[in-house]
Amino acid sequence: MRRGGASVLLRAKRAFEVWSPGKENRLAGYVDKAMRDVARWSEQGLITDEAAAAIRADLASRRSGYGLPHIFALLGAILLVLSVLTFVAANWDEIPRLARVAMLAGLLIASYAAAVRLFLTGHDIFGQTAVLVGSGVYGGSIMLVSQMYHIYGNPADAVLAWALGTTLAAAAFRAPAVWVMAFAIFCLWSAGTTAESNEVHWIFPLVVAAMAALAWWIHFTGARHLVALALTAWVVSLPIVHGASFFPYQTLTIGLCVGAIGAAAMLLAGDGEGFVERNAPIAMLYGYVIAFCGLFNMQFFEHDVPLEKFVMLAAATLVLSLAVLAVGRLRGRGMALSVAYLGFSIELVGIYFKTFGTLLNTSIFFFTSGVMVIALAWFGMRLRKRGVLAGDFS
Amino acid sequence: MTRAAPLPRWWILVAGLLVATVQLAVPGSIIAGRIALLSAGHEITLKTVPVDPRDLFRGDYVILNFAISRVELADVPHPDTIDELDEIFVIISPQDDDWAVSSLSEAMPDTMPPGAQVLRADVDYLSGEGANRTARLRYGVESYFVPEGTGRDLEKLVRDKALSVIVAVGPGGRAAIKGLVIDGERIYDEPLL
Repeated sequence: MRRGGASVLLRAKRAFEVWSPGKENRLAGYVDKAMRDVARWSEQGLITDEAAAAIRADLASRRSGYGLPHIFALLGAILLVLSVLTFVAANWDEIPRLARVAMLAGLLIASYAAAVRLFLTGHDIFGQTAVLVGSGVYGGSIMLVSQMYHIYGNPADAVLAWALGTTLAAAAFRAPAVWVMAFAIFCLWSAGTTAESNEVHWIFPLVVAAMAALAWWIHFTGARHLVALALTAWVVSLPIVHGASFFPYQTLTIGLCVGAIGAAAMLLAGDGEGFVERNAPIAMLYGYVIAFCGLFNMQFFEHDVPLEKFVMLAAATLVLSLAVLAVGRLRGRGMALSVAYLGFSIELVGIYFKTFGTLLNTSIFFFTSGVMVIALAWFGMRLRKRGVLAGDFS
Repeated sequence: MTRAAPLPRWWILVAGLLVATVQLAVPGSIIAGRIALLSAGHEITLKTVPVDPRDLFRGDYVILNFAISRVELADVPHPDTIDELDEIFVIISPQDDDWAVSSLSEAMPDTMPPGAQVLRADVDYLSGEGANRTARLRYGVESYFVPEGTGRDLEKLVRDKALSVIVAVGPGGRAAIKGLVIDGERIYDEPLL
């Protein structure tokens, strides 16, 4: 890169490239598997050497920046953070309080000095590791201070201050690993607040939305599952915290709406990598999980469920799982498939143990649904023979 | 994980300074506030009984329970609208060799009986019905953090002795623990830092 001669326009363009969303990386597993496939196709003469090289270059550009040393450094950093936190909790009076405060302040400054140095020398991921340690020490110092002065206060407030400071660090260094830490602390904060007040924590979805926006801004695509998982846990906990009075079948309704929108978007969208293509499968997957939890609660945890209602709910759960399986298979989404299989299996085990009044009734239910699912399989084969599904339903 | 262009060099320096400053300033400002409260506040001494749990991040502590933590609402003037999680001002007066609640108020009272003190508290919960309700108040001085493993010792020590806590009270009614007294003897003074 030329120094000094860059025009204002070039500088502006560079600044834009730094802050604007760009390509994200796939998991290392996918890239490695694709590399092996390309090698095989190249050996079998299915693709030319030039094509193979071009595909390899494209794959390499999408390889995650995280190597084994990076992963070990991050895990080591987490262990260091836990060491600092437990050291504070031990409240060891051999070291005077002032010395403990000075130790943590020194450690914090050293962490960020190391982070700056590592980022400047291009070791971004090790730099993130140092920021992670710094933010952990920051949390430890908040806890130390509130311990020193016996501040009863609201323990959740201390955790919130920790989460906000960590979020600032994640944003400033655009560090996904630190984002994960901040997100985890926000979840801890929400759980603590809910446990303390025994009321629904309505702010939490807004916090998750803000964190999702931050993740998009720092190009951290891996955040999508964490965001969806946190929202799923929040929705599923709604009836537990709030009672059933919010609105009837709240978990089921929310799950069905989100899942249906996701499934429809998956079926309508193409194979590209736009916003819809990337997020619709997540909406379907977690919508299904939420709806499944709602149905499962209504079948197995509510008291005195009438037999007809139980049979209906069980059938609905199986149909829902099959629908998710079908969409997941049609659009080649392995994760949706696995989760739908899991849901289907859990439901079967649940029915088997609860039984529909008598074992004979249960047997009739299994027989009827078995015949219907096999009929579906036969119907699918017919469609395939006529070429309607063109191999998708294979 | 991102394949975006690297951060500009000037920004890395700014980010390091900014984050370190903010993350030092947050605990620092808590320390400053506490020092101000402990050195400028009034002192009152409250009798207490400790029990011994553990906090996730701050380790072992003893929960302190005071006579003024529990108020029979029928016995003292109080706002009618009193509810759980409210912040409330508690006027306390010396009684025997401890303190007792003489009234509850929504705002900082303008005048006070001689010898009385005002403390800010949160209404933790209300129990009972109508006029016979009991309010559980929290003053923010209910936990005393101790070195790991020494909570039980403190509990044992006070089983047959009287434990009191010296509390610093700031002008706004905020309270902070300043020291411990066992059998009238000031055994522990909290250092400012």
